[in-house]
Amino acid sequence: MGEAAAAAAAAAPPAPPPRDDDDARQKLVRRWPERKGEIVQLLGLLGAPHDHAVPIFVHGPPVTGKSSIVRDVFTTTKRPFAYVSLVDAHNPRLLLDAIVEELAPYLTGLTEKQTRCDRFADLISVLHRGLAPDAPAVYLVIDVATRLLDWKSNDPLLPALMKISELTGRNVGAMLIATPGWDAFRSAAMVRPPVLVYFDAYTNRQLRDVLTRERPKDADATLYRDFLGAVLPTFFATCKSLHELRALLAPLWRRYVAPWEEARDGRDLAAARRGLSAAAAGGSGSGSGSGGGAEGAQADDDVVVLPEARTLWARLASGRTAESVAAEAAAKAAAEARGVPPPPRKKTGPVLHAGLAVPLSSASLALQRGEWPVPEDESGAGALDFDIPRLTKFMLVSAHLATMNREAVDKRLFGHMIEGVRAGTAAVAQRSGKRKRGALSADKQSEAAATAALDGPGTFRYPDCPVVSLERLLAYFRVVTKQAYDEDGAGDGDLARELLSADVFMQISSMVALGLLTRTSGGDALDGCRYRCDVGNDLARKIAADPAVRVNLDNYLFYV
Amino acid sequence: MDDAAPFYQPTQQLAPPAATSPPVAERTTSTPPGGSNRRRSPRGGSGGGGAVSPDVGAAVARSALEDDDVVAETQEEREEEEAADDDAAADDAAAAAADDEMMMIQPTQAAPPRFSASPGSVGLTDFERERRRNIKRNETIMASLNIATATAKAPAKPSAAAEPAPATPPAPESARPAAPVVDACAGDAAARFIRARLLSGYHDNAPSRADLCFCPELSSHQKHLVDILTNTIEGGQNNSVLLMGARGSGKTTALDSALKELKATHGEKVLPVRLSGMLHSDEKVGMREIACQLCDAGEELEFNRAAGFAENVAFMREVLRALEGGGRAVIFILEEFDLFTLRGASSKQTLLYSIMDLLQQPHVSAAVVGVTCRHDAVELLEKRVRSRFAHRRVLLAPPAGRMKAAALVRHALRLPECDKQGAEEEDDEKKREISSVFVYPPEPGYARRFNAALDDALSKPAAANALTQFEYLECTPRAAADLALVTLSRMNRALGTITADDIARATQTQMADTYVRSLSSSSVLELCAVVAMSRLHRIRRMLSFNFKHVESELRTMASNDFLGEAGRAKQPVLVRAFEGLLSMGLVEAKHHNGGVRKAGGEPPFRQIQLLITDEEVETGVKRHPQAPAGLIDMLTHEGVRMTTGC
Repeated sequence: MGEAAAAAAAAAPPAPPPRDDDDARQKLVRRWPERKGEIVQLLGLLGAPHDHAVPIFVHGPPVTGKSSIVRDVFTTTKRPFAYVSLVDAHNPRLLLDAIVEELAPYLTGLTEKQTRCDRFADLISVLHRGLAPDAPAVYLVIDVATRLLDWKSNDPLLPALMKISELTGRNVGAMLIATPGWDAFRSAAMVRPPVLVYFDAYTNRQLRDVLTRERPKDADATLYRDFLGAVLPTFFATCKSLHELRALLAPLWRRYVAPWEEARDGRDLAAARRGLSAAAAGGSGSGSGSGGGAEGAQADDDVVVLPEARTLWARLASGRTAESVAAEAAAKAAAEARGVPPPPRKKTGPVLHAGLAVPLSSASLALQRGEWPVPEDESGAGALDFDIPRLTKFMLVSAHLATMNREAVDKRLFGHMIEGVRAGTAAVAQRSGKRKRGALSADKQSEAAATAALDGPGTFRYPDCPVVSLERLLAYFRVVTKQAYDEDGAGDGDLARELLSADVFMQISSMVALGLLTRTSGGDALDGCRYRCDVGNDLARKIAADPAVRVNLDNYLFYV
Repeated sequence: MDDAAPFYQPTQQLAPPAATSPPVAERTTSTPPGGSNRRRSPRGGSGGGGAVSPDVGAAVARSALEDDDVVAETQEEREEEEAADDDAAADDAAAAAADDEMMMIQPTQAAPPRFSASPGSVGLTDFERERRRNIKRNETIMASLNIATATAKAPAKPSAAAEPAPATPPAPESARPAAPVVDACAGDAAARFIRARLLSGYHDNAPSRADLCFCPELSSHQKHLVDILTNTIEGGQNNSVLLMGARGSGKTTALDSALKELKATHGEKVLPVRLSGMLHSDEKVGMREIACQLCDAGEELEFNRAAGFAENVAFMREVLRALEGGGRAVIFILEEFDLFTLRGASSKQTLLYSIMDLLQQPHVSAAVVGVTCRHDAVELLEKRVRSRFAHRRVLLAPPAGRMKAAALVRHALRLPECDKQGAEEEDDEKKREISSVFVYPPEPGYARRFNAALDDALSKPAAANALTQFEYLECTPRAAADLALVTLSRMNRALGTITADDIARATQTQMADTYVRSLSSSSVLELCAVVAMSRLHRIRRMLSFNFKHVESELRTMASNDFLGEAGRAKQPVLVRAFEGLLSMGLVEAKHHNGGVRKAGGEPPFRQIQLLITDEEVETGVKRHPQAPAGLIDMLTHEGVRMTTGC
């Protein structure tokens, strides 16, 4: 057997002629050097134009070039394909229309009426009729295929797509592109798995290569490489997405290179001036020749040295701009002049931090706006971004409290407000007031508070918690406002006046309209409406800390 | 002419043959087989239809043709027609006549004028109009199915601009010679051949019984099916069978192979109608598809897209009755049979009922073959359907366990050798098959060289080891076919042979765990978040948890700052990493919690679950190039004690 193979190998033509697909492969690999393995795999699966189509599933983390490379492979090898992204074609009907539209050049002998597709069965018959049995393989490329799983369609699209060549009896294959693996589709697909092509995430090295290749046109190559080498390690631990890194690097690079460009421009300007003056000196004659020479020597002395990468990086990482340096120097000088020691520099966090890479975070937005240095995101800090009426704030706070507290806690909270019970509860309060709360119960309380903060509202422990009845909400509102006013020193009269000035129910309904409260049940107001508070813990604390409100939430929250 | 004449009025002027149908229909009862067979014969030897009933004399056919023509021709065209008839009689193929007639007849196919705008229908009730329309339609059906009219040839040449039929099928595949595909080299040709064999092993390309030898059960099932269906075709027994078996066990292969054999022996008498539960479980769509496929069978039948369910049922019955007259049997193939019962549940499985009910009708010869992988498919049937279903089941066991992966792959990748000396007669067929593939270059010993290299590669230790590993996981013919496909895609086509390396690498990619891969290529923060979740699950014994839990666990892990930048990540960064995990499918978030809509649905408190196993997490951490040094210890309980000091 082996001998036969050897003999056959010897008889085989030694040098095969150059092939088209080799050419295409080389082109593709040149365009995507980091994705060579995947390209070879795809090309191998596609095979020659008349090879039978294979169902293919391309998957991998976001921003790894799946869609771009698949499209590039098809266009470079000049294969017929229909590319449909489910972001555009967001329902089955649109998907079918888009497929037919994309394939229009390859479908023959069909009138316009015949290509109308209402159901998947129609597409099958269109393909069956429109494609010749011996036509080259046609692929339906479906991007963002995860959305197929969300469709509640009567047609089982996914399995039908996987079996499309069997259903049509033509050389048609489906290629799905998605982020999660085939396991997410397995139960919905019901059929044999397609051939999987996995696009691995770029390694740090590959990311650096890609970013170096994409440097801005006017950027100095070595400088840019130094820049990447210094900046990227900060972000690699948390972010490997090319999109986000690109968006981040552009403003950082401008800031990084600004001093260098300034210096370069200055040098060029000086050189130009020198050239001019030299020319002028040449024109004025030999009499002032010596003077011109002296000037030239002087210019040579203060020739501008371009800043090195190290200094540029230090300036970027310290977050100091020219203005801030100047301001600091001025302040220092002023302080010295007054004879006071200069104020210590305000301690700030790292200037380059991972938060910059998060799209649409306040830090990255500030960076895009051109603010520098950008503070790190501190959730829960700062004042309210919006203003609402004072009593609405109280209402929100009380809604939050009613959400977080169990109903069993209410008695403890409201006991003293009910006239008939007042004496009894007062006695209890007196007695319990004498007995100091034990360390153990305080521990228990804080532990429960921590657990509750982690679990959040509406967990299994308090199944009825997230929904608050209208009466309970009003009761909380009354307690909270009254106590706040009492602490403020304002009398009951003020409160009554203020409460009269605003319609509480109107406020509730406007909060529902704003999405801060949600009405969950009961169309009839008399039947007892139930509300859910959509204000998160952080926002509630912010509102409570607002100077107009000043409610200490911890006084009202009971976890045990 | 007859009582229906007023309704033909407009059509009569346009299309004479339509008017002739009633008398011809009467006549067909006397010569049923001639009609249906005659219709296919003009396609020549390619369709094979003419060969089926040689006993039907050419004279009968010719006389029928002449009869038609005599009635059909109009005054203006008389001379030409006569000349054409002479030609037709002369060379017995009637090609010229057909071509001439086609132009004349085509207006018949324009449905709208025929059905809608007839002057007599003005004062009629809807019901009456409907009834007459049906009568009219059925007559056309009868005429078109059983009578030898020259219209049979009309769809064969869909060139005329007047051709309106929306559903005229393309000429049968066998009729159109496959355009030769020029391959660049022998490797291309081999790859194309094997791929076609692996992927399109259905319908006409199904393996013959001899090819099913790799699994003796399959060939016995195939024989069983052939017997059952032969009873239907020859003996007129209306049968129904259910093929059951796991996915990949070869149900469709056996069925297609049986159909292929039946087609070979009975030719045009077998008329398969294929439905798939995926596409046609809705009764309207399903019945429309049946009508459409039946229209394809009777070539000049026109498929009316706008027809409703009831119309199509009536149409189907008529067609089947007519086909029975012609000695042809329809075989309904219902793939994904269980979906028909599930989807049709709201409509009481009307589609299944109307098909099954056909079997009980006189003058119908049909069989129903259901294909399903649900063993309780029969229990899903409604009573009225179940009582009409013959409880004949064929159970296919998945052919796993005894087979060797290497043998399966070899079988899948082998090229048929036909170029050895003393080729047998059966090899001739294969040779033809091969020669249609090997257009370029006609390399003499290629198949043998290919097979020798394949055997050689399979015997190499690298490939053999990989295949043994593969065997442990899955060893069905289908899995082996997938593996063979990937191997083939890795083959260097210029070289033209498969190497051991190809096989080993293909096995690797087939067996790769993408969870581990995506975990080991994720960012460090994502990896740490996964480890935190795994710890919540494994050490804190929480089945599901929310984002806040993960965050606090991560903070605990990062307490002594050995996670580096990842441990210092602020909340928005962590949320971002978490979103990445969600999109990669490593983590799943529940959208609803309890009965209240979106209760607790704020992102930080949404219940989440880790979808990957602890082993996968461990492997992922080990393989991650930038994983912090102590992270792997975090996964074990001892490690926790060590690092947190409790």
